[in-house]
Amino acid sequence: MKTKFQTYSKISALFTISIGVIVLLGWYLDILTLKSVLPGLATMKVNTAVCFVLSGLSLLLYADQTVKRVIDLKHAFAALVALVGALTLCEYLFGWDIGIDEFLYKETSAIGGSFAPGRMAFITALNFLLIGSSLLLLDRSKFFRMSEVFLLIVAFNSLLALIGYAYGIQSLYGIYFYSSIALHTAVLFPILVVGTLCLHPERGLMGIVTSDTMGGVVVRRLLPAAILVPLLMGWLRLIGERAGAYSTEFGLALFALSNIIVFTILIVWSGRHLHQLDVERKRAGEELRESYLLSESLLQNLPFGVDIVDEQGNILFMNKTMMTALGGNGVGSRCWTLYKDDKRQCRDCPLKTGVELDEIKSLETHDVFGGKVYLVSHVGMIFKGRKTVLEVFADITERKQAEEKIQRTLEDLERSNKELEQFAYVASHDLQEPLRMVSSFTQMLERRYKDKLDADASDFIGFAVDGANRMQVLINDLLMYSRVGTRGKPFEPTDMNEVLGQAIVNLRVAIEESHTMITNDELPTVRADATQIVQLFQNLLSNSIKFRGNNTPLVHVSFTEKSDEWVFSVKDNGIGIAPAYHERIFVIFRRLQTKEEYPGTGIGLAICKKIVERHGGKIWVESELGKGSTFYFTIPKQKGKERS
Amino acid sequence: MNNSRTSAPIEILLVEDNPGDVRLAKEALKEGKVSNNVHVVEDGESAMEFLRKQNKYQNAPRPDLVLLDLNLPKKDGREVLAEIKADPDLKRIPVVMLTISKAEEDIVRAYDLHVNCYITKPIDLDQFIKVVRTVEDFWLTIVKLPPK
Repeated sequence: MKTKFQTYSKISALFTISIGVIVLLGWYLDILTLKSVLPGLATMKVNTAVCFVLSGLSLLLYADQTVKRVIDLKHAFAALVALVGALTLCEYLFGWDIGIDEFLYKETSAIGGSFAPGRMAFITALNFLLIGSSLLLLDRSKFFRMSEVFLLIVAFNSLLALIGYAYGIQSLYGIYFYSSIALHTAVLFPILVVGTLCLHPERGLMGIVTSDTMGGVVVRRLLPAAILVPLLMGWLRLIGERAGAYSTEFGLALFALSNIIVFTILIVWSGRHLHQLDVERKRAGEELRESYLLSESLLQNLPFGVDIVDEQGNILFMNKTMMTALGGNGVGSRCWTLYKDDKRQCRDCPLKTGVELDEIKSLETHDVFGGKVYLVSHVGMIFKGRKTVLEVFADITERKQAEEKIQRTLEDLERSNKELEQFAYVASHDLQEPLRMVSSFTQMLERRYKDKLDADASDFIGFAVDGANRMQVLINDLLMYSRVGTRGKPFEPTDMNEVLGQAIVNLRVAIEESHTMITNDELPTVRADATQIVQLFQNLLSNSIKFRGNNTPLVHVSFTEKSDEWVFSVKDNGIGIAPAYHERIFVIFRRLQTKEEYPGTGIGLAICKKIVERHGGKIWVESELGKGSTFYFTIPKQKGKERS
Repeated sequence: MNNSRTSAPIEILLVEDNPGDVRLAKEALKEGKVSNNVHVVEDGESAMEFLRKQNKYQNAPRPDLVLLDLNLPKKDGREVLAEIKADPDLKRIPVVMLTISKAEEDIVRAYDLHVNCYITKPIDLDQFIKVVRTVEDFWLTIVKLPPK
């Protein structure tokens, strides 16, 4: 906006300079039209023309500040203009003749015989004094108002002269008969004034004129009319009266009426426009209020505590959630007096190092207030024109508690695993020791006193030894079972063909005795604990051999590949398992057969299940009584974490 | 065969806290081919004192073979083994670990500490007797040991 107005300033400056130069040319070439516009009217004096040129130059320099000048010409020109004005005024007031009037040009043909040839009009001198001073003072804000007043006086003076010219009243443009103000002088002054006012369109009176407030609208609409309409109406009235179209009274009535009509129309028009503007503003205000209420209600009732703190830690704002959590309004307090207790947390506070605008720094706080855990986000922002930090408190207590609970559970689990390990060791050593004593000394008894014992005694000794032996086996099985989880090795790429081969080697005696035929597909390599998979195959194969029935045992090991896992199967042609027991067989010490038929403790499949589950897989059986069984187990493909 | 061995009885140190096991071992050794003196101590500290002829063991003979249990009161079998094998005077005495434990880490640990052999006690009496006699036979007649 400012540049647009400065363009006006430049144009008015250039226009003024041009006219001044043309008038000087008129004097030099003695062309009357250039000196006085119309014959018989007062001439623009040489000094006047020079002052216009100087004023124009000063204004031009004000308006175009792109070039820094060494000498402050704009002020020098203005000062010169004011000086010429002041000296001329002195000549008038004190009757001196300092000789500046014809300093530049000697007026030879003193038409009209002016009493002081070449002297500018009194009003013109006054105007130049005022304009020169105004241009001198314009860029000092202390004197801005004064320079504005000077300019308005200049405008008023010129207007007076212009009305005089328009209405043919000489006394208005010539305070002294012989030195009346020239027509183009009277025109140039308002142009110069407007140009000067346009230098600072944002300040003073121009500030109102150019503003988008209602005041600005009113001024822009009514001011030109207030100046021009009465001027025009009065001129028309005068012409009509002079032509004898109507009497003075009728002319006055016509003048008053036309003014009333024009201004009524103007005021109503402006009023309507202002009304429209006001309605729009009110609607916008209402919308703003609604949007404010929405964001306010959101802000107050968010599940997050929100406050705004300045860089010194003063709390400037706090939402309802925050006050509830805090148990009171903390606005006006220093933050560390409210968010108390743990000074360590204040030490880590991002406020200390500062938070830049739009930067986010987070901090986890414990027991700041109400024994809760908060994740506090600090966001740099501007609030009420100050650099502040928005703090958003998110209550993460429950999440933290859940995390801690999981951590505790994990620790418990680890401890219980350790205890189980300890128990396993106790079982392997301390429980077996007394058992050995029972068994060994019972046998010793039999050895030493065989001759003295009867058949019953030998039987009893047999039962005792058998019992001790079976208990020994049970303890060993239990130990093995408990060690699947606690003594597992890390998972590594394992060739299942090799693993199966190892299991077959381990079972060589049983396989040969039972004439079992074992076949297998080319198996893949999987991530697993090889030792445990050997045991898995070994247990499954030995079950197939053990529960073979009367057929020649045939066992086939194969697999299928799925998107996320391998499914292995061990299929036999043994006695099979009734569907009712498909789940139960995997439970520790569960047996379907009597010990006389099939010896064993019922640990084998329980160990298989534990091994598979440690690898993150499943194990199940598909079987019918008398039709053989197929055991399936899966091993996940991804590098899944082992389950403890 | 070494004549001195057959004439003079073999000295065996049995480190074992369980009286039942002591008795079983003694019974087994009693039926052995080699005439032997079995000395029994019930904990690790006594075992070291016996070997170093300290306190009440000043007149103790230097054993030809140590049968060592793993779990003992005070100093346990591992510590005794470590001390024997770290002592330049004692480290040549063959030490046989005779224990109930089948745990892999116990076995590995014992061999890391330079045990001469590790044997799990069989639960069956006949087997136990056989094992003890085999150990005695192997270490005292078959194996050629450095001079005392």
